[in-house]
Amino acid sequence: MVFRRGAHLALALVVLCALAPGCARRQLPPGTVRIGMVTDVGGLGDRSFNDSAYAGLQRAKSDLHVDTTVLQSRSAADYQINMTVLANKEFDEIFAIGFLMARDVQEVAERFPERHFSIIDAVVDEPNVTAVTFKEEEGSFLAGALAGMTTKTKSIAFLGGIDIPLLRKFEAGFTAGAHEIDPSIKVQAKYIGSFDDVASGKELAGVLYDQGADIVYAAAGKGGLGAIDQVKTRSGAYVIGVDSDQDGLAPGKILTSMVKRVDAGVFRVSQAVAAHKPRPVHLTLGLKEGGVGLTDFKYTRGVVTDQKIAVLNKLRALIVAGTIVVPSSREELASFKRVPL
Amino acid sequence: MNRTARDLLIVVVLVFGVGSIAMLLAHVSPLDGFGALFDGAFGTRSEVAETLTQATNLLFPALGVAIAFRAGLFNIGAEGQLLLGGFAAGWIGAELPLPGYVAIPLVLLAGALAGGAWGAIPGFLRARFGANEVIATLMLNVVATLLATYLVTGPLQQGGAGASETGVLPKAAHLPDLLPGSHLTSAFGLALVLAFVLRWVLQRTVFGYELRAAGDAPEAARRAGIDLGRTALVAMALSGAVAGLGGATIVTGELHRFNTGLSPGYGFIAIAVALVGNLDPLWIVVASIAFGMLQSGGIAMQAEAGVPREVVSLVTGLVILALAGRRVVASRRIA
Repeated sequence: MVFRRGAHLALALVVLCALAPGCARRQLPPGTVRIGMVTDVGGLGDRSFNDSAYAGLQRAKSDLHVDTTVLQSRSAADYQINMTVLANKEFDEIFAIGFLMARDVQEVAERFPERHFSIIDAVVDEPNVTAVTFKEEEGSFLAGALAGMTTKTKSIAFLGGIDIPLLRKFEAGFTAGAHEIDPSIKVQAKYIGSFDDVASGKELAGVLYDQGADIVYAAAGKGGLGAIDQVKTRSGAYVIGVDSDQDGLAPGKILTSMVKRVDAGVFRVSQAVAAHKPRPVHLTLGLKEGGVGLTDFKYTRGVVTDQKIAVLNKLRALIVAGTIVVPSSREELASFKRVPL
Repeated sequence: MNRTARDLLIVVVLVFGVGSIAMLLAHVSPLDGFGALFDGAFGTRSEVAETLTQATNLLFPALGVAIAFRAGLFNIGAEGQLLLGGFAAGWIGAELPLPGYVAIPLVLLAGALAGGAWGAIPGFLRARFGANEVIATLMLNVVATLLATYLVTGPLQQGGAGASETGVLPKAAHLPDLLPGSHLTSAFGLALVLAFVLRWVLQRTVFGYELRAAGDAPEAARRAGIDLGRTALVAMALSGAVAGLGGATIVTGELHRFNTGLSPGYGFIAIAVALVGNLDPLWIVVASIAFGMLQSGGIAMQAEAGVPREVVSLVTGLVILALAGRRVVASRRIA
């Protein structure tokens, strides 16, 4: 009887393994702080903010000696299920990575008032939810200033993912930065309509270059990879990357990347959790906090001269000091006044 | 050994045998792995609630699948029917501000109608042209996803910024919770009632008899005057309606909005649930709780024991393969 033999085999395996030394039980000392993270559908390996958040979690694990768990979401249905499981297991903090999960965080946070959650890039109005947001406009301002100093055609462009307030922060900061250098610079803005359409990203970047722009700031998630693909075939043109350090994806063709330190946000909340301190209600990370910034121009020092870097440092200092208030919407951009350097 | 017992043995061997091997490959003791799974599924009151919620989400499409199977139709389109049911429910629910006693029935009805319409398409193709319903339902799943994505981000957009989802349903259209602090809603009760009603329909009504006759012995049924085409159409529409109702309960009960990613594959797992339950609505209830346990416990297993929950998907897939395969072989032998 084939099935009975199968059953015996399975039973034997279970018993064997119960005794096997390789299968040590994962025992946590009592009182261990446990931090969970739920990715959005991008998942680990997105080279963007899920990976960045994971890096922060890894750092929390090694530096703060907390126990960490990551649950990946295969579809939007998994957001609530994953967070519910972590809440049921009484994790000390549950990170939700990305604004796509905002509504789900609200649902789960209402059901588990005694648990605590943190969400990246969104504000959820619940007492047990920490919002971690970034002043993307500040980093984008520096990117725009650098582009303004580097463009030869006096024409640069912004390529966004979806036309939503979060992305308009990038657009407004970038435009203001370029106009800070030279108000006559033409800044175009186009939106792909998605964050994962590489083909359209490539096509739209091509259109922008054809219309005379020589630098495209691509803040479009995976779609930005299309712009990077496009710039490889163009001489004298550059892309500015976003979120993580993308400079190495096309060395020399990516002027810089506007890095968003999601890892820093995750780590800072984790510090409060590990120290059993109250979490911040709203953690806003800008230039001052090291939450946003540009890369170190490893491959583009040929065009990014010491003089340009000096200007960028000066602008950074003015933003940190509050002398320059970077616009974060199109309305604020319209009333933005240049600060003479 | 009779067939049901042997089916059950296959399932147990697959789940524990293959599951153990997979856990060993992940360097986790199966005792710990299954321990974490059971604990995650039934450890606390709130975890039991989550298991029953998952069971509910599987029970609706599984009952739908069973209706079609009983009529001799392999409906693997429950996923698409559930999705469109969810979309119709979410859109109507967010669009019309109505008091609760109207909103909830209306939203559920919209889900059932949309799912039913989507199920009727392959039913019609089968009745009219003799088109193979396996291929039709499988392909319609893809069409359903694309259609829902198009509608929700295009002509019927309600402003779910950046995500492909409808607006949020007003409180009046939320299903009441059975257990506060969980998202176990009255949908569970509704699913149970539906299981009993379906059993009665299948066993005790003329329609149920015709449906079973069409499935068990189509040639004899045809000679006895049963309209096979009509039966196929009605069975598929009903099957889709039940799956669509399931999608509507997920929207009104758990997510409180429609999102194109609302199902992590309930419509497919439902096939395993229906087969393990031997296509009998009451046994399907039992099977749905077992698979609900695998769903909710599987994630806990990953969190607690470090076993990738793909183990659960693997085991579920093998169960479908083994039981559906056996059925196909058996039907070939008769034919």
